[in-house]
Amino acid sequence: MSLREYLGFRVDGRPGELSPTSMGSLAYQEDYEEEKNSAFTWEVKANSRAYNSRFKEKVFLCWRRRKYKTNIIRTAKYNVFSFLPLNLYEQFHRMSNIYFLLVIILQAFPEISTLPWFTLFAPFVCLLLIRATRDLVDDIGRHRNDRIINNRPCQILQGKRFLWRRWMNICVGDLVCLHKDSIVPADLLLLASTEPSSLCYVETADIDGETNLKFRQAPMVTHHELTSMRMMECFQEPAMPSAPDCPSPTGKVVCEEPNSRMHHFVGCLEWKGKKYPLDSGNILLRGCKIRNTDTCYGMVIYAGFDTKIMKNCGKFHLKRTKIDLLVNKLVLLVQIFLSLVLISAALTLGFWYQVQEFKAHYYVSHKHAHGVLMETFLIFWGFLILLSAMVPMALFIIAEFIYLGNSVFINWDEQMYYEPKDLPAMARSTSLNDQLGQVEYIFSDKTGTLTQNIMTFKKCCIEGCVYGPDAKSSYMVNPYLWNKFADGKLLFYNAELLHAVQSKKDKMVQEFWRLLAICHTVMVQEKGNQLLYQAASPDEEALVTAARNFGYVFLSRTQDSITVMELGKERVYKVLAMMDFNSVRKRMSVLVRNPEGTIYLYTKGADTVIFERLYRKGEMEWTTEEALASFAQETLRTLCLAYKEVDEDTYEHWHRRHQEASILLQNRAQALHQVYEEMEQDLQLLGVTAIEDKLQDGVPETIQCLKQGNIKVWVLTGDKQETAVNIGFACQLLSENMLILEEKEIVRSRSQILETYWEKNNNLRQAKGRAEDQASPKISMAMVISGDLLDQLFLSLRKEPRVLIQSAEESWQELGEQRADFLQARRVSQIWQLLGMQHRSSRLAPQDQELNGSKNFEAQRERAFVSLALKCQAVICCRVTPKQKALIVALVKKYQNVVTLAIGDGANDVNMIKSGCRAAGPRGRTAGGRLGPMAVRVLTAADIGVGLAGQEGMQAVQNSDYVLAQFCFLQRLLLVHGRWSYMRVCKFLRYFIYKTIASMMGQVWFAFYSGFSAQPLYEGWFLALFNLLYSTLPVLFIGLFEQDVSAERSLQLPELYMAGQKDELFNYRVFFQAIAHGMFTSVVNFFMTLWLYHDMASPASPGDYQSFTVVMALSSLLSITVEVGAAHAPPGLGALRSAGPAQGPRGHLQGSRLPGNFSLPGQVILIIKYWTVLSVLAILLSLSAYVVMTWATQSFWLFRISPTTFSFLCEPPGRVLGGGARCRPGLTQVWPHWALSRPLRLWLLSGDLHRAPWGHRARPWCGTQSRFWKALSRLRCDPALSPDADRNVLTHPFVLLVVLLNVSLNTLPVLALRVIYHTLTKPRPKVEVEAPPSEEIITVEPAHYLQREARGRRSSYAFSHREGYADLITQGTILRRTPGANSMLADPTMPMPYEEEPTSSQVEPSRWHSRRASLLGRKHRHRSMAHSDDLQPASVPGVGSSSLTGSPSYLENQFSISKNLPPTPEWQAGPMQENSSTSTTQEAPAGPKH
Amino acid sequence: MTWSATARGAQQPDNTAFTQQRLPAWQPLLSASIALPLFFCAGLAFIGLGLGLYYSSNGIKELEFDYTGYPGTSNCTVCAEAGQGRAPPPRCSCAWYFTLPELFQGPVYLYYELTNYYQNNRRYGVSRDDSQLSGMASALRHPVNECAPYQFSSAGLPIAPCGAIANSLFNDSFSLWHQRGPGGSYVEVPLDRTGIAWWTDYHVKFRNPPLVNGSLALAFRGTAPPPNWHRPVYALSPDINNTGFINQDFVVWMRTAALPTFRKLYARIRQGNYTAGLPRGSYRVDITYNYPVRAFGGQKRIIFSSISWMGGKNPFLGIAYLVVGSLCILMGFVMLVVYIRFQDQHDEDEDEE
Repeated sequence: MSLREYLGFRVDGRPGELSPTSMGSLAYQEDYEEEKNSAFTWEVKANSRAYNSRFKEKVFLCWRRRKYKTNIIRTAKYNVFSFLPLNLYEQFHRMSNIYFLLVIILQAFPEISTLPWFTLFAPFVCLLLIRATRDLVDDIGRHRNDRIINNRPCQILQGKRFLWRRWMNICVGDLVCLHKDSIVPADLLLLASTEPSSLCYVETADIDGETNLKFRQAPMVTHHELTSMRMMECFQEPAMPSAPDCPSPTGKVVCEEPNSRMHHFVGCLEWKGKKYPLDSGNILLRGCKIRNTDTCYGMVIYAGFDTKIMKNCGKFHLKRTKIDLLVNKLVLLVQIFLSLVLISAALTLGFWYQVQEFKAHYYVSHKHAHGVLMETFLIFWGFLILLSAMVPMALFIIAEFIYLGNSVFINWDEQMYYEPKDLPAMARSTSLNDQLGQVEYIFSDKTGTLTQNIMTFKKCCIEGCVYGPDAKSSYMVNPYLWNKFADGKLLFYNAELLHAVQSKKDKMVQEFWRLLAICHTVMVQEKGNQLLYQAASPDEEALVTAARNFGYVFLSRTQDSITVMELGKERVYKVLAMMDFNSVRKRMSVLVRNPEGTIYLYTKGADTVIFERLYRKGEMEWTTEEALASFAQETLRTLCLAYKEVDEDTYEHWHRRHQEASILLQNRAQALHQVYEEMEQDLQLLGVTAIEDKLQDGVPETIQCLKQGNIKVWVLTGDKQETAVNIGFACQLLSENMLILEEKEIVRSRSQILETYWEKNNNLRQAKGRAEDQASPKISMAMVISGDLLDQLFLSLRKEPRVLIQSAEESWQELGEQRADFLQARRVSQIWQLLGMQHRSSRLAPQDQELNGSKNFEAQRERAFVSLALKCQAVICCRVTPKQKALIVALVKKYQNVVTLAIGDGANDVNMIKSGCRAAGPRGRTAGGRLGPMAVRVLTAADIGVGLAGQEGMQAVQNSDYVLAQFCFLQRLLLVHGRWSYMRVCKFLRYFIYKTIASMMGQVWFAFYSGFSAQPLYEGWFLALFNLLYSTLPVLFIGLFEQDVSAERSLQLPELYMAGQKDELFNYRVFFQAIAHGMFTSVVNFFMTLWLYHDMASPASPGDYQSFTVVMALSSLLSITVEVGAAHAPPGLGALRSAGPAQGPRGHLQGSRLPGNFSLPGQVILIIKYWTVLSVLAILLSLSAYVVMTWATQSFWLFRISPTTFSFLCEPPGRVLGGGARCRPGLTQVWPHWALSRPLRLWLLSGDLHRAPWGHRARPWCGTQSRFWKALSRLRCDPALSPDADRNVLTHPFVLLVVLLNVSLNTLPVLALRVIYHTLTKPRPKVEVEAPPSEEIITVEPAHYLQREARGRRSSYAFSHREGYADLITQGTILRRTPGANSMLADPTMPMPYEEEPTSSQVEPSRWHSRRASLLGRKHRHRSMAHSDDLQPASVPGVGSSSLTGSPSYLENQFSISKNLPPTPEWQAGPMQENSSTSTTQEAPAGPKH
Repeated sequence: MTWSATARGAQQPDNTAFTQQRLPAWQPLLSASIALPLFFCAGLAFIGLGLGLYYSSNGIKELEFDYTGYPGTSNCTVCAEAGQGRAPPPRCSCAWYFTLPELFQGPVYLYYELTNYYQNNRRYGVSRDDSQLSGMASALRHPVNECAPYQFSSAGLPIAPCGAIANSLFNDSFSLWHQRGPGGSYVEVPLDRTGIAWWTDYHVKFRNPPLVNGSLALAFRGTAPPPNWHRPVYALSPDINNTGFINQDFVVWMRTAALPTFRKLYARIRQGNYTAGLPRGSYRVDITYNYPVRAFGGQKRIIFSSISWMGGKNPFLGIAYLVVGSLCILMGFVMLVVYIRFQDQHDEDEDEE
């Protein structure tokens, strides 16, 4: 049953509400679709829990549960019992974990168990534990949050009174009472409020980030009926069976099922046998804040997870960084596949032959009890287990530490701390740090991100005379002190102007300020002695405030009058007509009759609009235009003011026409427009105001710096083009010598530009390949486009959604296929690129095939457009909706495999910031083929989202990955932290891979000498602890503390950042380089040792397995530890460091040279370039961990406990030589220290050179060496146990010499290569003077690239905001007439305006319809909001919000009524209620005034 | 995340060198000017070391004899042929005669070497029970499964020592005879068969099970010797300190080799007149040929070797050091050349700029 059928009538009969408007975007389409599906099945009876809980829904088979959720929010994933199983379940969702588990299970089979059980088990348990701990900590935080939210207090009607309960106690159907500034606990139907007409003002900052007030209104019926507590009881189900006062049955709401559409609600209230429609204007959403309303009552419709905001909380899927993906791919593909399968297979094959031979080896033949085939099969698995150590489990653990550490460093950075707000930077996501070092595109919001969203009155021009701010120092005291209404915050001081105002001589000056005081839609309220202005846009508030400071104080307004205090004299102007802004008119006018009876028209508007309507153009106008131009040059937002006197006759005439027009049923807006147009003619220019949209600190510098780092900044804003361009210039995104492609130019010749461009591109690419890419950026271009154009351009948006739904099932599929294609293509291109094949320059190439295949013209155009846009140095997209913002990001990501970063502060930026978009709702999912656009949205998210903890609520912050306080911190975040993180992660990965290969490949080599029997080369404990302990700390150090260049240098040389964009520090090449290097090391270690041992006759018989193993282990460990000190550094640093300062920070590195020099990572110096105490400590600690753990695992003590587990013994306590009592210290325990101090060891050894050979005579050093040895020898000497030969391998000089040889052979050649390479390719960054864009280039360009005229950039009207409260004002809905008639609660005998038909005698049809109209207006505004992102807070938030909290209603100053009447006892529910409960019984509802 | 609620500056990060990543650091810039001396010094040091090693290795004498008995190689052929295809091979002896023209500088070690013998085969290598060998009584009766098929004898008795390694104990024996003058009688040179095992092995890792009534044999009662053994483990030697699991031959054998070619110490010559080494004269080594290797193409050798501070004869280590040292110096020169060439060029470039 559809909603309409149910209602039996059309919802208000306005198709406009339900049919698509021009903005036929995804948003609507979704709405429509869902609406079609939405059944009308959600029934809620007021305060009747028994009834409401009857509804059940089937969950699983017979298990049913209550349909209506309680208001308890549980965002935590686990509870005490579910933690273990759930967490394990989640952990084993990871491929790698399953793999390791598999290997561990395999290991349980003795036939193939090549490694001791603990070798893999111990690290695996560590891994699981660490991850589980992290999850646990996260979850505890969520639990805490949930608890706080669930325990918030609120008042619920229970029985006859409202009792304080917690949020979690709220059930669907409950009646709740909310007070000023409380947060709405669930989605409520507003039943009544203490405001006139049961309006209720809410701030939705937490939902959509807008801080301006929105109003909701109760349905008229409840507004009139529920006037008392008793009536409230009536609404609910009677607590007692007989409620004499309540003849009517319970109120019941029937509406659609919970859904996620924030601004959509359709339902119907059944009460007393009648049905009343409800819409989203009646609904208070969870998360809103009640403002300016003393008390309001609501009935819970959706609770808990059913609420709209919770439905909107999409699941966040983890963003993964490029490197993360690459590493996973490498680990999975290369290591598992290559090393485990291929190598294992090869080795197994070797075994195949060997095993046949082994049949002759009688000593082992019995051990190979199975057939050859079976043995081979078993040995394969044996190898698989053996080589599983090659998949570095520890990599994941350490990587997590590193990511976490780098995030913490971001949080700790003092230079990203914003003191005024006590806001440090915050990394909310810990897994994206390295990507911060690779950002290529920044998508920035404008308002609140680039700008402070504070408008300051900067300059004005009155009658051609420009008044700018005087030097501040000339005023010791506030010059506005004479004016008691001055707010003292105006920073515009101009003595001359002030004098002119005070002297009252200049009529024009007076009219100028009067206009500013009268012509606006600002609301005022008084708080204490202060006036607080509520404006629809900050511009307007700035103007009114300026007027106020200059003595023209706007005091109050009624429906038809405005009271202004003019230089101490109060004057009341009668408002005859108010002609509000809209984006077409670009002006606003007020027609007033002044106290003297003269009628004036005051108009303010965009210069273009106003100048058209002047009655003459004299000298003054010309000078004013000059002033305008100069203001525009300074990127100020300008506004022209004009007025005219209207004679009575004209007015009478016009008034009639206006009346007629305003009651028209059709085309009223158009007719009104016409009428307004008639009036606004022949104006007299007063002057111009100039308002500065203040940029945030350091924005131009930051953008400049980012541009040098080859980061392209796109500004996506809902603002108008002029404003956006203005800001673009202000923040140096655009510059004079840029070619600015504007919409006109693009559109006019789109068919030419884009397509020819595309063709040219194609040809060029075919012809010249990648050279093309580097050639074109010479012309610096910028592009300014609007959302509408995007709509036209992007095929996915262009089509009418309806058409899509109805007709083209296949077209969707086509879309889907295309997307799949592009996904595929992206993957391919990614792989290619990662392979280091320089695929980058022809990134678009893979799509060519798709293109040729589909021959899709639209796609071609889209692509052409994007590639054109990508060529531009700067792109400004204005008038884009939040969704389009996300789409633009998606588009760039679609065609370019680049890292994008979105930064914004408001809810309108959430889409582009958010990590994971709300995936299409359940219905969307079932819609199958129509998933297209939704899926696009899932893709949209930028790689990194940065939220500015600004003024526009917390939505952006809550959805972001990083939180900054200021835009300029972005510079440090990217250039310093991002670059460091990227460099650290890359070095870490490179080193880790090297380390793994260097140590583990030995096993493969060993297989060739152990009969391919999968004999491990290393001892189990070494393998188990190697990656966990022995080699971890240096790696961690690299990942956490490594710095190639200091922070200051990073900022001075943004060019360094480019390495990250090009994936230079870690890609397939680096990977293979690391592997090759690792192979080299392992080959040297293994074969040198092998060779030296091969023909060895020594008493120590070092050829035994244990010795060999230990020598190999030590060689590997030392080699890789030394390698920590020697690996690759970021390219070209040495030179940069030395040459840097000389050439200046602005030196441009020549593009053509750079790729060569900058992409060669081999030249380095030392992996650790940043030696601190910590790095030394890290190395020492890891080596001592080896010493300690080796000592421990090879100790007698553990051996005696479990001889099989700890079968290696490495401790020769001493030995008695030839029966003598002298002994030698047990060197084993200290030998690693020896290894560290080779010279010492050599010296010790050389002391023995001419002595008796090993093992025969007293070691000379026993008695002669330091006290340390003596002590040790005392400890260890036990003559009683006199064996004859000490066979301990590691005390043997030979062994140590071998280790030394291995290590030096591993280190020195590599070192030499690097030095040579470094010398050979010493990059010499060349200073390239930034070539001024040469004229020739521009002239070469086609004609339609004409440079814009200078005037075109002049800021015209800066009204990018929506209409003000004019409709509300003129309707008087929110205004109280007189104290008497204004009482809140209606006299029951008053006629019900709701049920009246609209009367034609009224300007507005009826109260109800007026509200509907205003709702319509609001709806319209929502649309336009979608267009413009500055649905700015109606006021400067700091001021505005505090002002809102102050007084119960607007205009209290004028109609002051006592609202705090003594509460009736039955309302008294709790102590907290006193000041806020309002006795509604004594106030009649404001009767509608017609 | 309640920014506003906190006190002013409450969230201000600490300004320490660590948190701000400004730790005092040393950033070494490895330029040729540092690398060159390093390489030259290292090269010289290595060459010096290599020379020392080489000469000390050259001072070591080694005498080696292959007695595998491949046709035509020695008089052990008979034994080898006799043992061919027979299990167990018959007892057979052969001898190796050699003459020392001068004193073989002591101390002299006697090794045996086996080739193509995969003691590092995983199946073979794990086939032992360290618990049993460390003298645990329980493990003596219940050898680990890895020992299979040498875990229990056909009679069902636990094998001690169990496993393939123990079963394949090298059982050739050698005795050395010295003939002072031509035609003189051969005098047996005392071979010290103790002190050839690792201290840890002999004292810790390998322990006999606790004696029963003072008798080792009783302690091993109820166990069976490995199938290939002719006598039980407690009868390996009459010396109570050298029998059972702590028989040093056995211990040496149980320390498996890393590579298929390996040497194991058999005895040391350091007693009597032979403390200084083997004096000149003729010698005869009597070899009891038991151990079959020809089946898998292995070889058996017997080696006399003296020893230096760095071990046995191993010229390769010295050579390797020499090579690496020369390499270092070579690389140093290359670097020098490169450095001079390109540095100049760079300078010129810079001048041009």
